[in-house]
Order: sequence, then C-alpha cells, then structure tokens
Amino acid sequence: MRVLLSYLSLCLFFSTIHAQKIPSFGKIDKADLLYKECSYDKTATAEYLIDYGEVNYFFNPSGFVNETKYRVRIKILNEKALDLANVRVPYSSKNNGEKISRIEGYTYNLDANGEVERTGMEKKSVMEQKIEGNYKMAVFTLPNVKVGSVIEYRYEHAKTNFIELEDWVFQRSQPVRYSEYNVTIPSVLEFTYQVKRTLPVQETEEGINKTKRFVMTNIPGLDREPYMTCTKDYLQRVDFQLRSVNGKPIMSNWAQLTEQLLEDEDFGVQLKKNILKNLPLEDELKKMSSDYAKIMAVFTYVKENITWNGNNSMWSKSGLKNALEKHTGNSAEMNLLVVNLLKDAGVTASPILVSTRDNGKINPIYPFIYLFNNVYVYTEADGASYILDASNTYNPMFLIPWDVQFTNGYIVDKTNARFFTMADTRHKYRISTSVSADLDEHGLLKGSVYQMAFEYAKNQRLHTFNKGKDKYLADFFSATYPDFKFDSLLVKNEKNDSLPLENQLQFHTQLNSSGDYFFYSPNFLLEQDKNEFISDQRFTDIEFGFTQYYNLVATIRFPENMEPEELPKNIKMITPDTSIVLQRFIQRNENSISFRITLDIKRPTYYAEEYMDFKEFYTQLFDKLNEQIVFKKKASPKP
Amino acid sequence: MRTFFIVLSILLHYSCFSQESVSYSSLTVPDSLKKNADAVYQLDEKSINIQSPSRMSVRDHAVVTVLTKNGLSHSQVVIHVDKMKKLDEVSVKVYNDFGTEVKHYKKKDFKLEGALNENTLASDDKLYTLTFPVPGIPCTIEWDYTVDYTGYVDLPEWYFGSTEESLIKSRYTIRTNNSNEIKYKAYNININPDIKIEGDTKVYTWELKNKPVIKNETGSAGPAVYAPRIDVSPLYFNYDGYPGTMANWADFGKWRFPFYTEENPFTQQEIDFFKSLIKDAKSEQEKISILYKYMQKETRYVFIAYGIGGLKPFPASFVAKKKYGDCKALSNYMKHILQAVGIKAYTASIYAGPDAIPFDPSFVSNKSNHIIVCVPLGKDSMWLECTSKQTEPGILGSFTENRNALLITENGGVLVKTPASKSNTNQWIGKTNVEIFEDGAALIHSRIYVTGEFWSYIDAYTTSRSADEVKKALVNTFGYKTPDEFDYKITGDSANGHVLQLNLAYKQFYDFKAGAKHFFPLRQYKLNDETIKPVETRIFDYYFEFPYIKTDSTVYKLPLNFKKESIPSGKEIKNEFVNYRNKVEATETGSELNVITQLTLNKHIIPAKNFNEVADSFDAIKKDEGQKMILKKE
Repeated sequence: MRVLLSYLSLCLFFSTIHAQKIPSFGKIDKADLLYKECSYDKTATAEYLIDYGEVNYFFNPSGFVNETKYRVRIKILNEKALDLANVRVPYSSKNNGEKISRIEGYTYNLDANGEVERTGMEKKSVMEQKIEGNYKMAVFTLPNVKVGSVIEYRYEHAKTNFIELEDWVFQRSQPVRYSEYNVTIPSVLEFTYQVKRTLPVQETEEGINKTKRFVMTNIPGLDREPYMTCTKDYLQRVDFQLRSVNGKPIMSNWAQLTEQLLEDEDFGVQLKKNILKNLPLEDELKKMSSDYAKIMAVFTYVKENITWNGNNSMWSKSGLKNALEKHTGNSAEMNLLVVNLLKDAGVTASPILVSTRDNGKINPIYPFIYLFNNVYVYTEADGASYILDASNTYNPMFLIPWDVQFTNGYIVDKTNARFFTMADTRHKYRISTSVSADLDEHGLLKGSVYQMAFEYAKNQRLHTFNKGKDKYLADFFSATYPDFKFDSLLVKNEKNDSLPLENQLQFHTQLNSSGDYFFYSPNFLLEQDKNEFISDQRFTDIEFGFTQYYNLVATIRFPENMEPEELPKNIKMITPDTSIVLQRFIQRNENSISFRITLDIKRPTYYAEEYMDFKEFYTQLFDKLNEQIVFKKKASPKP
Repeated sequence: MRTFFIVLSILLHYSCFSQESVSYSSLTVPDSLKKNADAVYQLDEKSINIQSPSRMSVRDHAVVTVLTKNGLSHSQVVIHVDKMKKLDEVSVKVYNDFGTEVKHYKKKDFKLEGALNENTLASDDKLYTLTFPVPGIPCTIEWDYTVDYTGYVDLPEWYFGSTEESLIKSRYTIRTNNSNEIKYKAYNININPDIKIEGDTKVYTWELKNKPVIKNETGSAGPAVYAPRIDVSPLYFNYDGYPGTMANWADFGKWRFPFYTEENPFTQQEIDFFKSLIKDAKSEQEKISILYKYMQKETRYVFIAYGIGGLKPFPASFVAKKKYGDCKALSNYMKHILQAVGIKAYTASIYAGPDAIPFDPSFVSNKSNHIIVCVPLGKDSMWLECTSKQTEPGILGSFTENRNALLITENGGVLVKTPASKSNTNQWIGKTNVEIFEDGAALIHSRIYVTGEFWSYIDAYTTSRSADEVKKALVNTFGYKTPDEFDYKITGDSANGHVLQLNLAYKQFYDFKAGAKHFFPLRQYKLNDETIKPVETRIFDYYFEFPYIKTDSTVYKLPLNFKKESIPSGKEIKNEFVNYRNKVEATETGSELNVITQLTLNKHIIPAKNFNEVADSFDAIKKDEGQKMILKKE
C-alpha cells in the first residue's frame, strides 16, 4: 500500500519538480534571506536550500579518478544551528589517493539598508586536521554567520582508482528544500541502484553521457523516536552497487559468496581446524546422547573458556586456536569456535551472518557481505533450531539474542546456504510480581515483594546486576519509586539459565495523603512507569524486539481505622487486533484489598501507520493503570 | 601445577624491581582496598625532571589491577601531545591474574589521532591511543611512558587515588635544581615531601601507601573538597619564548597581559560605528549593555586550537572581520570594543563549571579554563560572559559566579571575587486559570514568567523544538499531566524576563476517582523538583545549582455539580535556606478554589551540618505538593 501511494504521488508531483531551477553558486534570491521559518518543518533550526552532488569518472595515465562535486546552501533559522557553518570533510590520505580541492564559501546577510551583503571565505582559512592513521579532514568555518544568514560552500572530492559510487541520502536531521544527485558513469562500469523513499523522487537520464539525475524536494528532518531502530532504515536515500566492469560481473551471487566465505582463512578455514580432538570436552560429548545436551555443553564451554574482548566482527582476527589458548577473542572467534566444535561432535551447525538491529535491515537482493556486521551460530537439535551468540554472556541457549530477534540472517553452509528469519514470539519479555503489604493506622505501608524476571527480562536485568547489586537495586527499584525505601534485596538464579531471575525484597513508604485520605497506586513494580507514546505523530515503526507479558498480584491489608473508598473497576481492554490485552481484577475482602493486573503485548512490532490507534490505546491504558486505591481515615470517636 | 606457576611468576616480577615490590595480581590485594574499587593501583607514579624553565620530561608509570568492568577504562591508554610535548618511549603490558605477562605493546602499536571533541572545530594537538583486549577480569595493566616538554607554564597536579580506585602505593617525584625552584601545596591531605639534595639537584618525593577508595557525596563541590592532591608550580617558566613567573598572582597576571593587548585593532570607521551605537546611552551601564548585546548578536563561538591556542587569543581585528572566536577571542574583542569608546575593561581568567576548583589566593596555579570580561565601575564591577547568546549584561550565571577570577591588568594580575548568586535573578512565577467542566474535563490558561537560569531551562526545551518535543518535555521534564491538546507561545526577552504562555486541554483533569469523589492535583505540575534526600551522615557541603524564587497561583473555577469534599489545609516551612508556603482557599460560594504556593531557596550552598534540615524540608514540600483536592460530584 505504501508503495502504491508513493507512486501515485510521484505522478502528481512530477511536473512541479521539473520546473525548479537552482540558482548558481554565489547568487542568491533576497527572499531566501527574508523568510523566518521553514514552511514544511516549522520548528526547524535550519533549512538546507540546496544539497547537491555530481559524480564523474576521468581517466588518466595512472588509472581513473572518481570525482564528486558537492555544493551545500543552508539558511540558519536559529542560533542552535550556527554550528552548521563549521564544516569538516573527511578523506583518506593514503598514498595521496584522495584530494579535497577547490573549497569555496560565501555567507549572505542583509545589511543595514536591507541589501544583500556577501562575504567570501578566505582560502587560507581552510585547515587540515588529522583524524587517525591515513584519515584526515579539511576543516573550515564561514565568516559573519548569524541567525538569518544563508551560508554556501562547495568543494571537490577526488578519489583515484575508486570504483564504488557513494550512496546519496536525501534526508538529514534538518529539512532539505532541494536535493539533487547527478551520476555520470563510463560505459565500462555498470551499477544497479535502489531508491528507498516514501516521498516522491524525480529520476531522469540526460545527454550523450546518460547522466542519471535524482531529485527530491521539501524533505522534512528526521528525528529519533522511542523504540526506533536503525536511522538508516528510514532515511530517504538511493543506494548504488557496482554490478560489472567491462562486462565482467563484479557483483556476485549468494552461492559464490558462500563459496568464498568457506574458503576464507578468517572464516571458513577456521571451521575446518581440528580442535575438539585435543580437548577433555571430546570425551564428555561422547557420553551425551542428545544433540541438545551437546549444544549446551559446547556453548557453555566456549563461554567459560573465552572472555569476549569487546570486539564484534564477522572475521576471526587471530584464529580459533589462538583465542582458546589466550582465553580471549572477538565475537567471530567465539561463535566460529562453537560451530567448529559442534560439527566435530556431529551436530548440525553453521555460521549465520547477521545484521544487528542497530545496523539496519538486510535486503537479500544485494549479495554483499559488508552489509552484515556479525556472525552468530545456527544449530539444530530434535527438529528445533537455535541461534547462539557466545559473546552475549547472559543470553541462554534457548533465547534468540535480542539484537537479531526478528531480523534476517544468512546461513553459510556448503549444501544448504540460505536466508533465515530469526523470530520467536514464544519467549517473551516477561515479569511476574507479587506484593504483600500492611498499612498501619498512620498511613505507613510496609511490605514484601517477590518478583520473577523471565527470558528477555532476565537477560536485560543481568546486564545491570553484573555491574553491582547497588546499581541493580537503584535502577530497577529505588530510582523508579523514589517515595519507597527498599531493602533486604535477595537475588537468585542469576547463574542458572533455565530458571527466572528471582528477586525478593522489603519496602516501606508513607502513603501520599490529603487530609484524611490516603492513596496507593496499584501501578507499582509493573514496569509501566511512564507512557513513552505521547507524541502526536510517528515516522518510524515501534520495534520492541520481543513480545511482552506482565503480571502483578497484590494484597494490601488495612487497619481498623481506615476504610477503602470505592475501588477502581474490574476491566478488560483489548486492541482491535487483540494483540494487546490489559486486565484488572480488584476485590475487597474483610480487612484487605487484593488485585491482579496483567498486560499482554503479543506483537514485537507496531507500524508507523498504526501509530494513532496504538497511541490512543496507550493513553487509555495509562489512565487505567494510574487509578489509585483510596483509604479514608475514620473519624476517631470523641473522648 | 598451576599454583606453582602463579607463585613463580609473582616472585619473578617482584624481583624485577630491585628497590620495591609490586604485585601483578589481585590475589595479594587486601579486602579493605578492594571495597568499592573498580581498580587498584599497585603502583601509581609520576616523575618529573625539570631541566630548564622551558624543558622538562614527565614519566608516568602505573601498575593497575582491574577488578570490575568499570575498571576497564584502563584498557585504553591515551597520551596527549602537541607542538611542545613529544612522546618519547612507551610500553604497555597486560598480565592475567596469575601475574603472567600476556601482551606487550610498544609505540608502533599506538594510533596517532587528532585531539578532537564536540567543542573543538580543529586542533593540531594529537593523541596517541591504544585500546587493547584483556585476558579477563581481574587482570593487571602496566604502562610506562615519558613525555618531553619544550615549553610549559605549570607543572601537572598529582591526585592520590580516586572515588573508583584505591592504591597500594602512589608516588610523585620532582627532580629539579637550584635555578629552577618550585612551590607546592597539599590539599585535603596532610603530607610533606621528602627532600633530597645532591649537589645542585633537589629531589622532592611525596608518597602514600594503602589508601582505600575516596568517598564522595552527591552534590558536593567535587574534587576541590574530597580529592587528596598535591599542586606544584614552577617559580619561573618560559613558554614559547614568553618568560614568566608564578611567584604570585600579580606576576602571573602580568605575564598574560600582553596577549590581550592590541594596538589599533579597529578602523576609524569601526570605532565611529561603535560610538554611534551608544550615542544616546545615559549611563556607563547602558553603554556597556548596548555594546555587549551587539557582540552577542554578531559573533558566534568557535574553538580552534592551533599554535599556542591555549594562551593567545585571535586578535580583536580578526574577530571584527570573521565574527567568530573562542572565549579568549570574544572576550578580547569585547574588551577592545569597550576600550575603543573609552571604557576601561579587563579580561579575567577563571575556572568555570559546577565542580570548579577555586583559585587559591595563597597558591598560584594555572587552572583557568575560561575567560570573561570585567568592567570596573567605581564600587561595583560589571561582568560579561562573552560566549553565550542568552546571558544578560552583568549577569554571569552559576557557571562562573561565587569564585575568584584573575583580572589581567596592565599592573599585573588581581584576584577578584565574581558576584554571589542571588535568588532573585532566577525567578519562576506561574499564574494559571483552570476551568473545570461538569464531566471532569478542563481548560487551562497559564502564564509562566521566568528569568535567569529558569529561562535557560525553558529555552533548552522549547526554542526551535517541535510541538511534539515540547509536549514531551512538559510531561517528562516539567511533570505536567499529558494534555490532550495544547499550544504554547513564548514572548519577552532576557532583559525583561520571558513568558511562557500555555493553553492546555484535558478530557480528564482529575487524577482518579473513587465513586463520586474526584481527586484533583494541586496544580498541573510540581514546583519542587529537587532530589535531595535525608542521610545518616553528611561530610561535605551540598551545592544546589543556583538559588531561586518560585511562586505559583492557580485559580480553579468549578462547575455547579462539583462540591468541595476536602482540601489541603496549607503548610509553611521557614528556615535559613528554604521558605515554603502553600495555601488553598475556597471562595464563599465554593465556586472557586485558589492555590497559592511560594518556594524560595535563599542560598544554594548548604553547610553539611544543615544538610538534613534542608533535605527534610524538601521531603515535606514534596509530600505537601502531592496532596489532592477532593471534590464530590453530585
């Protein structure tokens, strides 16, 4: 539907875009200095008026040069955007292979008489800044920049013997009025490209050189949103891939890549190393009958014998044997070792290439290895498949690591290489809590908590727990409920993968009160402290990355001098697609109140298009969760 | 077998150092030193060898055992170099917890990168960095490197341990000679150096053993009060051909004066322009304000660290042309503008920031990180912060108030106190009308007048933010109930105060109900947002960010069907530091309720002995503000 809609609008907008003509460098329309706000993004601190790129290839005796001309014109609307006048252009200085040249800049202001005043940037104010290794950048800042100014600069970036075409991103964090990318490719090179967009783009081919032109206009800025994944997945952009040089295909296919990977010294070759034979583990494995037990044993062995060195990689750096000897390795070394050992133990296992959630989604159309950023383990036991990451200390075997859950991975296997969707809705982010408390006649509430964190919830908590118990207590209890004092925290099963993380602790608090009334909020330890979905609009999908289940059971005993007011009602709220269910039962007993709240969220992802309904449901959900239990002190009998 | 190797390797390493025994394992660290420690310094030493007023070498050597993940910050070694600081030798070794060396890194393993951060546009300073994996935790890391200086102003300070690291041995050594005397002073510790004189050579050594991690408390003045440290200064130095002395503040200030002196920075046309700006001004204050605002509007802050960028500003003539510069350049520009119209002004160096270590009148040290401008005006001085586009002329803000600044004058340096923070420069005055409807919905019209730091606060969350972001800030930061509809407008300016006008609509304004009783909040946000909490013991003074005055009056217009059931009885708290008064009144007919609240923090520095008194006050205020107005629906 999304696609269809954008095609429709494309047709409508076509003619208007075509009519635009951008002003030449150094010339400005006075109107651009007079206006005060961006018409299609009212609160923007700046607007890119022109964002232009032009790529050409030139041949010279030493090879060929990829030369890109960039030109940028920005209107500064607010002092917070003044830093856009500070420009840094990074490049590689290796063998003088790249050059930044012909840097020019202007600032336009209106003078006291309302006339356009143009200040040029001095050539000598361009500085060279070292970044690291072979990387440097050209740095400059424009003169006379204040709120209301328009700044403009251009430069050329030449790369010797560089074939690849840079991708073009139309969208920035500030709005862009006009974005244009021109690409002239010599006939010996063939590229494929993919346009990612929801806004209309104009695509043309012109002249004898068949220059391709992409134009997009009035693109609002993209901000970060809660539960948003990779920004790259949402930006309006065009991506290029080299397909062939001189008719010789460069872009291979997945089958070829699989072959190459399996032959690679830092990947496939490592899988063939004979390691198990010399380990005591071999005998242990022989005694085991089930594949499940073997997987568990190997996974545990690697986690215990190798400390992750903090580096994520798809490639082994110093070899599996070395990692095992030194007891330290990167993620590839750890995970390839798991695969290696499992294979030798006769268990089905393969490396699976993954692109973690923050690295963005994978498009199988493009067979390129660099799109992935890590390698995990794919294995099977008793007809079930498992995804393991030995560098993720706290993730048990049965749980798909959160950072790849609901993404596509590529299984590298000689006979059965394929894409595989890692998804598991059965294992949840799950919290189950019971609270038992006594209220005294002065409004002091004392009680105990028994809370279990399962699966993804446990995983998340262990990360904090292992930084220290004090921090854990602060993060999950004290800081969230500052009015409560917690103590005697007891945590169990932190080392046992198959059991939930058990938390026992005591608390006390003076209930909030007003005159003779005392208030208790049942939304306590339910992990629903704040509604994050209060924005009136949403551009990106909400990706929780897991399904969720929360359960809270509580009993509050009250003294004789207190009487509960009318209680919140029993409710059941369900979204139209039944994917979210909230239930609350409250009951008054003789001198206690007991209640149960459950919240079940059965989908891991909610699409931007569904946001308005989602938001409305969350608003009501929090209204209900925030209803309180009220006690009223009885008038004490006059003596 | 394994144990044997451990013993052997530890012995081996003990023998490496003939003069002293250093362990390379956590196994020998006593529990008292492991407590609350992310890492333990088995040895932490700095040795300085002063050769002349412009040459010295500084050797850093440490053996640190990492105990926790947080302690892994040591698995990165960063060495700062610049035009006058060259890295000589470097060695980094990694040991497993048996004390066995598993890796040895040398200079070629380091990356050389530009010293850049968000605030620096460009810099010719560089960093040698090495990030390396460790064999597990615990593990031990040893670094040893020497940096040769061909110019220096001050000598490095020495800290004994930190709030995260304990130490077994810490040592600071300075080797110098009679013609290169030094001065020193110890802070937060009673320690004297051991001084050895061998002919012309003098060796000072400060050493401390077995110190657990240092305790800090939230809201303290920071390292200035808790960190045991030695400050050392050279008597004479010669930096980039500029000889100077640190004998006293006057002389040190005199050394800096030429950097801020410029003959004829402006053209006659520019001078005439400045004069024309102030031709109608009636007082010196007004003239200064006009010129300051001109500078604020026309220039922007850009930091470029090239050459001896740390000391010498861009000339005023440069700023006049390019309209940008760092704190030095903008302050210098401001000073020369004032000078051009005949107003005497000085630049002043200061240590800015919330945890600033104040200049010590009795000990000269080069600790400034910021430059401001001071205009002496008879009894009072007018201070100007030249890097902010929002501050008012004459108001410095909590960034630089309440401390010593070094005025750089033609007669040398003069230590002068910057103004003390005043509660009435930071005002928050809210006036709100709430109309409640029969179904519990409400329409709210609010005007919040803010000055000083409260404007910075509102500005940060509203200016050029989308309506959505403002809404999020209202709810998440200012504590408003999520409105169903809202709009806002900001008027006014820094001179006269800003006004945030808010219109909010709620389908349900009450917090919750129990049967016919509806529980309404006292106001749609909380005046008190302090987090201070009572404690059992308090050692250090507590610092609020700034003193302030907040008032709010909210008038509720009730529909006929809502009757007052119970309203809070009011509360008053008054002590040296905090004034709080809350009053809820009903009109005779019961159709209106007025909530009038006032919260003043008179002083923002709370002596440790008064800590709990103030914490209890804010606790009580929080409880009082959490009260509800209970209305019964008929």
